[in-house]
Amino acid sequence: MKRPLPLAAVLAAGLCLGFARSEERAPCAHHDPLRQPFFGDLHVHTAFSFDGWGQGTRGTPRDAYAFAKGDSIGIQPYDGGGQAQRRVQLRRPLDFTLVSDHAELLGETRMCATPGAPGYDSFVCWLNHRFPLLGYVLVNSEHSSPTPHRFRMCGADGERCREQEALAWRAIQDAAEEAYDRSAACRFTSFVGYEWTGMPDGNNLHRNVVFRNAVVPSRPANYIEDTTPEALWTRLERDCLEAGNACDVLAIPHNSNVSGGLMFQGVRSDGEPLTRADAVRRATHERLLEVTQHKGDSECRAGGADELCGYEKLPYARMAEMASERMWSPPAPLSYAREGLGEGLRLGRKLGANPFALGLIASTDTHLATSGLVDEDRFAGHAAGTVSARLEIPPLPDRLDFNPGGLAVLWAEENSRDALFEAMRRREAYGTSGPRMQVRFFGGYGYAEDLCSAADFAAQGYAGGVPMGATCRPPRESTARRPRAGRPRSRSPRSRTPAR
Amino acid sequence: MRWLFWLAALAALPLPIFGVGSGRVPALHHFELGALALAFTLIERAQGIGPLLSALFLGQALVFALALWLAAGLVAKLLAGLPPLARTRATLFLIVLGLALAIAQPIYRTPYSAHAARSTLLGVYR
Repeated sequence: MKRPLPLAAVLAAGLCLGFARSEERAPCAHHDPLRQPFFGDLHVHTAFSFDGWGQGTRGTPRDAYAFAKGDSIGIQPYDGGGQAQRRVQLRRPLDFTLVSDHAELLGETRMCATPGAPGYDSFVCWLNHRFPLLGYVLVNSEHSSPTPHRFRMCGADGERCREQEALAWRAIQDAAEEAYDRSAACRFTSFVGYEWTGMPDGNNLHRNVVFRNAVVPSRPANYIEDTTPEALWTRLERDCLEAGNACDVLAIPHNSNVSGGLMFQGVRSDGEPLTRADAVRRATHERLLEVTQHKGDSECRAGGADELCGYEKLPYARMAEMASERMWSPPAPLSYAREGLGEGLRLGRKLGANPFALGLIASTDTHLATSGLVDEDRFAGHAAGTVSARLEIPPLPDRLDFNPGGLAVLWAEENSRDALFEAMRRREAYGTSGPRMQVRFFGGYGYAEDLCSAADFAAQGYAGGVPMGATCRPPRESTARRPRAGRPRSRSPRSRTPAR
Repeated sequence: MRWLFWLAALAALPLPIFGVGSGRVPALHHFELGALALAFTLIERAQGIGPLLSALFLGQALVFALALWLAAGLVAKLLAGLPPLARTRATLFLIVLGLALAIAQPIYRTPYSAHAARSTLLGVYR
């Protein structure tokens, strides 16, 4: 693990770079103060996730990063000799990736997948070795209850599983460190993180947790011990933000479409109405929302005035309803990003702080370690409890209501952890359903009419207003002027993707 | 004779899995899966789908066992007209033929298997 830089050095560097450097690394040769778009996947599972492993995934975090950088990897089904029956490869490598394995069962998965590990011969592991689908369904469902608990294999106090969890967490950090390009070429950025998989009563409240650098807590937070989003934020504050080191972290919610409307509630998990402090707290920790991924699109409700909202909608309200068509109910109010953003504005006026001031990104949620594999013609499936390729290649890669997911795009000065993390925090971000188009907006009050055709579009955009994701405030001397938005650019003249 | 037919059918006749995935496995395998789900529920004090899953598998196993008991009685009745020696030979022939077919051909669909999506009888209990 790299040492954090002294605070003075961080501040000094920040004045020159446009962002604070919190780690030791070579300056990027392609640094551009006017920023450039970087394409990546912030939601990737590997064999370290119980549901991925249980469906036959063998790719590790190291494989997921290698795949993101352009290597081909084998995926299930595997033959008797352990040879993968399929190989996949990206057409274009990614710029950055977060391996976000489920924090829950991280230790249990390692125990069951590692011969000789304590608990390898336990009943739960035996069941998953002997009848993988049965074991998967039984084990996974235990962590959808409001009061999840550890299995007997973990010992009376759960210590055995926590020890194994620490080994898996260390391996995740090591894989990220190996994959990170700290040279001046800055070809690839890996992030350390995990997924907090809260799902009370089958309502999806999942969050991906992404750390700024290699300084991370000794353990990931998990839904077994921290059963509410508020408990997750408390853990992140205590173990990271208030730890007195260079640790910094954000949480990215996803799949509000199957949250049963709970993702954007104006109340806390205990039922109490949100206060201003609650709103500020959430807006501090959660700057982005993942609106498109394998499990559908969460941007807006289908059937309204915007016909484009009919894109990749799941026909049910809760994650638990996925199991059977007989369980389906229509998506609840406040299940989509646009509804959440509107609710945020309403709460902002009421409380004085908007809890849902969110930028939007997309990612995959692959459970095959195939980061950023978003091509329609190469979709290999979600591989977590739906259609399984563990035993044979299925006729269709997955359920008809699933899709290959999308990519996260971050406008940053360079392809480094600090620059990309600050882009997440600024919300200077967007998501695509796979294509790598460049989209850029500015908002301000004094822009020239011909701004969008100007060669220095970005420079004028930043100088005269704010970029996408920022808050556009009226100038004091001319509050009556209406804001003007720079239109989206298909290709900014000052923006480029770094050469590989 | 009825007992022999019934036991052989319980162990080898492929029957559909309803409600918990699609497959075609013997009633005894339904029972095995249900018993394991029940054991998981009891051992781990499960609050999730364990009780429902065990009830579904065990319920199907029970229904199939009753149906097979009736079917075995029907077959035994059909053979009852044969002389004792011929009846014994016919019974053994039918059971051995059925088991040989089940062992030789992958006639089962086994989504819960650790090894293959299609299995022979030995594969089901492997």
